Amino acid sequence: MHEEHGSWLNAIVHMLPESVQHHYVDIFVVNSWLVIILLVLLAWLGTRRRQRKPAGLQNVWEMYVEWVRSFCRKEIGPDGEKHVPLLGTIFVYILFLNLFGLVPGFITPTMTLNMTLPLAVVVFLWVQWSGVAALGVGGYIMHFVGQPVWLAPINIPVHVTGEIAKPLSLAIRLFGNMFGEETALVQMAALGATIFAATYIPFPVQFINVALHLLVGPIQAFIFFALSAAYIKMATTHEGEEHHEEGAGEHDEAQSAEQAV
Amino acid sequence: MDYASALALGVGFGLPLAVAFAATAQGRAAAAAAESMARQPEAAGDIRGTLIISLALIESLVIYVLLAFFLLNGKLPAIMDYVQQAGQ
Repeated sequence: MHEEHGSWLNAIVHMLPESVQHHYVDIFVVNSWLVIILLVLLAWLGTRRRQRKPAGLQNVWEMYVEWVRSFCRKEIGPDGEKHVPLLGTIFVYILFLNLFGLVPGFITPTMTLNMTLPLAVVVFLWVQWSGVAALGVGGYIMHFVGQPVWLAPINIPVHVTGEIAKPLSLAIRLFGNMFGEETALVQMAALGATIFAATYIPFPVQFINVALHLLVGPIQAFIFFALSAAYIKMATTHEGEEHHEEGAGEHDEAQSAEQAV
Repeated sequence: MDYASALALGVGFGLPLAVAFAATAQGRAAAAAAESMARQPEAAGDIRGTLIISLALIESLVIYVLLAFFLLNGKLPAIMDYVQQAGQ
């Protein structure tokens, strides 16, 4: 039995031939295509007539890009600018995916693991590639071997497991949050229907869940984005460098303590 | 205790247990963050970012349990089947 979710797109999908719609069309994927088209349209509208004194949509995009740039510089380091295209795309894409279910008649594509796992795999591949690019093949392998070289038989399996667990936890976190949110919303709507059947008072019980959804969607998008940045930082810095940074931090603290005195 | 009642207990108590511990942990994290923000208001931005990420990491454990809850919930027998079985 083909599982169906309430969406206006079902009517369009049903017009396709049977063999196509059962094997190639997933309603979540169609919704994500709509999000992609929407984002492309917004980007095109924002950059169509660029002015030196930005107004309207161009202003929004410039603020967004500026924010992502400063975030990457702060989190990843001075070299973080080259990760801006991927990370910025991921944030705005997941944000729109998460909030798309709030538009009546559409569904949240991120409530399936099929949607979130590919995003996490993209981040995983990018993290590994940027690790190789930043440290070289030897440095990348030494990253897995760890600091005392004679502990390599223990360190390598631990590090490999950790690297595989990162995208899995990214995907499952986003999927679980969105799926839980949507399930709670459906249950509350069903409760509202039950109340209506018993008392004939229409009462929107799911209202508070919709408000919560507005809060959780952006937060989860930000978390996916921030954790991706943190993973990139972990993969592209030497383990020795962190000690330097800690030393610098202590130095700063000592300085500020002196100033306070 | 048969399989179904053990499963029902597991489904019922698993999620609240995880929620209780995670709520304690999140409360501690938020309290520490608020304290350090009050002590150093100029570092509030950095602390807020760290707080959100760490809260998400704690929260994700509860989400794993929530998924396990949904999986196990589907394995529970329907109530009418169970009543009929008990009646026989």
